[in-house]
Amino acid sequence: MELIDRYVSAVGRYLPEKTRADIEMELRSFIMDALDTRMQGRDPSEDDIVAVLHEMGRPEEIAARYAPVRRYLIGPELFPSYIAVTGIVVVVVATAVLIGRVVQQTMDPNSVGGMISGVLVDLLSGISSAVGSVTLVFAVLERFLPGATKATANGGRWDPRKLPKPTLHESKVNVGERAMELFFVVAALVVLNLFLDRIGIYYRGESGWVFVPMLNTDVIAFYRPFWNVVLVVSLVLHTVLLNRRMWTPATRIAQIVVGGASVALLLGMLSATWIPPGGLATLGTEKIVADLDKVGDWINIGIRLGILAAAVVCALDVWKHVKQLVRVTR
Amino acid sequence: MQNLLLELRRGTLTLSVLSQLQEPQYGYSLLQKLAEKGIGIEQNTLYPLLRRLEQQGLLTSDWSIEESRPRRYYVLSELGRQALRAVVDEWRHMTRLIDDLLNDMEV
Repeated sequence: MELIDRYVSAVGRYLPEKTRADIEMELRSFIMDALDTRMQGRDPSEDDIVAVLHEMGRPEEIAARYAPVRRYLIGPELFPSYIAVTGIVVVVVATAVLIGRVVQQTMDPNSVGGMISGVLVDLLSGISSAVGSVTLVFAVLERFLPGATKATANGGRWDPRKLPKPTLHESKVNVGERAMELFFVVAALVVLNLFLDRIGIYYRGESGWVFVPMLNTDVIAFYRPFWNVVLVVSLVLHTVLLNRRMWTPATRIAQIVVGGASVALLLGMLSATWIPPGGLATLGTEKIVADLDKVGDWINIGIRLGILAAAVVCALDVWKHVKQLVRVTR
Repeated sequence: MQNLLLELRRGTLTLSVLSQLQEPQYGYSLLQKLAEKGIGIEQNTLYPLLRRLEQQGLLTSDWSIEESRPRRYYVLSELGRQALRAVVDEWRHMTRLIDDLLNDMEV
């Protein structure tokens, strides 16, 4: 009979505490009845008990059938988007880790063994933390997004008057375009938080490789938190759009706010000095410091032109969404 | 094809169970009663179904400790009796309609 105790206890482990004792008692009574019928007055052997328990099914399957509603961390509605986003994030993180390691290897070509183990460790920790973060975001979305799963769980009550109007062409979300934007948002988050400080000039000096950071670390430190907020909001927005497959006035406004914030940050960054005077001085002798400053100025101009171009692209995107918002709500 | 047959049978399980609970039955006796009448139902399906029907107010249950072991007896509630009458009426209506459809069918 110990096997029956173990079986009933194994089922109970998967049951809510409120109903556990009652279901366990009923299950035990049922198993004993089944055993009595099978034995017809004889004493059951261990094989007989095993046969009856096999007929009952696996403990977790039995317990799952008692669950009033299927419990999901991420439900069937969001699951396809979750898989797509996880795939994108894994590719971006793996690429970033590999590039980072290749750069490091270029600076220190002697430790091939160290590189391979380093890549494996970085991949493992990077991917697991990225997938964990994505899972967390989707689990939160599952709880707070109004969706069909919850409507069904609430007894299937719904109001036809609350259904969205038929989707206009301009309201349809271009899934490919959204997935690509999502990819760039994740890539930007990775670069911003892991690699921006490492952009600079690497050269081999007398005592090995030397790194001269090109970008002004004070400017990066100032803008990083703002960009993190904008990018995370953007990440959530793209995920919602991939899930809903259509623009609503709310998501359109959110996109305009995110785009507007991006333009504001980019315009703010235009006035920043990315390579301060003397920033490249360590690259040469005193005689050519002035020339290096000129090079620095040209790089500053180049960076500003790039920022300006990005601001213009963002502003055009904001304008496109404003026009479509006005058209749809008119 | 097997899925179609399973789906068809599954749809009739609730009616089968309700029909046999006009008198109190415990789970295993109900399982045997149904089996004697040719209605096979897996044991790991029956108990959760009984609990769901009870939660919906169609059944009531009580533990009996008068026998060799404690057993939980299920029986139709008043709501369950009304529901059974409605489902039986609908079943008879549907079987007439389906029979007509099938009789016109050339196999």
